[in-house]
Amino acid sequence: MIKSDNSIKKMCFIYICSLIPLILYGFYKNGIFLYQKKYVNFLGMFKPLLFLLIGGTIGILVNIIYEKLVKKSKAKIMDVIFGDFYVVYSILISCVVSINTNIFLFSIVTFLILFLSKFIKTNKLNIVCLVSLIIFLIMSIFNKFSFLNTYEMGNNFNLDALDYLFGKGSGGIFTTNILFLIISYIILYNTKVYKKSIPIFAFITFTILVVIYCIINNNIGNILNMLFTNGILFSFVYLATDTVSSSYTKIGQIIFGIIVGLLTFILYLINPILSSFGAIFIASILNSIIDMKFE
Amino acid sequence: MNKESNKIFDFLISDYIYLPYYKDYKINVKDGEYIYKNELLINNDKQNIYSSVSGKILGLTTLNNKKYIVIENDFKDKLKIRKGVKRYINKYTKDELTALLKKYNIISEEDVNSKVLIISGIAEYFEENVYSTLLVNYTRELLDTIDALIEVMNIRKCFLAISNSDQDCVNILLNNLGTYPKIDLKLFNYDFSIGNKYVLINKLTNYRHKNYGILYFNIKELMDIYTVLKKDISPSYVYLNLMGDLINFNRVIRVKKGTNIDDLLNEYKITNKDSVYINGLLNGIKLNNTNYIIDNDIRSIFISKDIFTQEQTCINCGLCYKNCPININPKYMHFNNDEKSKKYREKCIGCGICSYVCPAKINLRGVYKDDKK
Repeated sequence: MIKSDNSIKKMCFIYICSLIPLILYGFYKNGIFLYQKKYVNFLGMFKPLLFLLIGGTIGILVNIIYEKLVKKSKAKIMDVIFGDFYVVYSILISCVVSINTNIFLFSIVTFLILFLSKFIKTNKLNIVCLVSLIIFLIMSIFNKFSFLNTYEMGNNFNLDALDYLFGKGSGGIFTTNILFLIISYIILYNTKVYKKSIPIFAFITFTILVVIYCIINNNIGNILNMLFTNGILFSFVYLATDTVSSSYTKIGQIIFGIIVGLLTFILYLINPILSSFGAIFIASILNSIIDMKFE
Repeated sequence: MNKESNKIFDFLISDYIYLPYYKDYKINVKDGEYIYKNELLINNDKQNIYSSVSGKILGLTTLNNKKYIVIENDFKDKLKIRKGVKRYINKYTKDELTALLKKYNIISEEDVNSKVLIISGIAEYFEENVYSTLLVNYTRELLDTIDALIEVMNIRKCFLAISNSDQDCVNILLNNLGTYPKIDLKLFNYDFSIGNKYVLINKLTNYRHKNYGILYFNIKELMDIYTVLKKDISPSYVYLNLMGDLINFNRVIRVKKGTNIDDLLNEYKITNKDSVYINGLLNGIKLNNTNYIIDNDIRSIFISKDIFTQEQTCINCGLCYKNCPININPKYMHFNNDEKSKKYREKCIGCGICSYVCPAKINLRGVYKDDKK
């Protein structure tokens, strides 16, 4: 029987391609620029790409080990690697973590959680958010955790809208450039499987709440900072729309987006860095209920 | 107009014709007896099965777990004398017409008082072109038949639906429809579901139409009606497509009802008998054995390469749900077995779009097929 050309492999490829502009900017911001300013040595310049390389390798390894050693699958190696979204997940994890993250910790936690999650067959949770939350929590225990790179830590900035748009705000390694993020969203928007309404409704809900909050607290100047830092928009575009752990019904996606936006705001008041990851993770727990209710 | 692409080829030289045999039906013939074309073979209260050729009854045989009466074709198509055939097909009374159509199993009692007539010229599978070819070759006959049905059965609204990509068909209908003002031509952009009966009825009709009762025929059935009204004989031909990527042509072929597919493939020297699909590659079936008998339900025979796709885990993308033409949830239907999934299975029309769009290559339609067995 004939099948359409939609495939998980193709979707993974589109996701990875859509990340390229963000990756290039993240490499410039957290690598090349720091090297130019003499904050890191030549090898240190490649640290952002090292995260990416390790992340991607872990995703590939997890799939190969699980399929070939555990399940004894005889499928072709490319079908094994891109049989699900784990390669994209591991790349996304390397995008959202802070440049200050311990690489060893990042590797161990990512590998363990991704591998163990392979054995969970029911009610899929958002693995990227889970891994990111665990990494952030462990990092917070050992030192004061921050998204700022060494250059940003040593300087004070007064950023305007254009600065945020061009990625000068703080956030994960490859998550800060809002302009490139919009381009990525447009690329993903035109794919069949991307759940387009989730980021829109999450962003609208979050923006409304932030604006109201800032007006009430007479702190309108903080609106842009709250909206465009800590990788919140990146999380809305890439993590909240994870096909496996988000709603698939039309109304379900809208509700899912609103819940993500609402929870992000609530958690932001407690811990801005963890807010979007926590919100998406909680929403992914509610996912199956949302789909059942709004089918 | 490309005359070659709209040509109908004949394959009427099958030595043996196989007509279905059902245990609880009354048998009207004996082994070794001579049977005329259009003579009643078996029947019950609801269905009459007639011979599509004249020849000698050879007895019963079993093919693919079904029993058939085998007739040795004498290629004479001898008919017994018939009475009561009208010269003009619109001269029947409503009672005469409905009696004729019921006699040849074309309509049932509940269709008699329908007031909305829908004729579909849209192929069920996008590569098939039997309906458009028939429309191009028998335009006047088919339009006359629709007109007669409207007049005799007091039809209030009649839709003729065709795909706007069938250019020859559109042109020829636009040139001819002026003399048939009661036929409302509807053009549709082709998508995978529009050829399905239930989808098309839903697109064309509203609540009021449904209250009137809907009579639905495709072009092949309309051709059968024409034969019945014109000659008062059981339609003995089946029109089908023979095509696929392993053969270098796409032909509309006219065969006798009861022809063995194997004979047809031998005639066309097709050797890839392990790659035969019937009724399209979207919602059809693959034949394990080409000793399969052609009946009214067969629209096309595809000789196509085997495409093996490894099923992966569902990624919850919702594409099956989004694309389902009747708005059920194929994912839920496939993975659950509760009351809700049973309701979905009852509603499912088996179009196969869910299986087609699934990025994880899951055969979601499989559940439907298992259920309808």
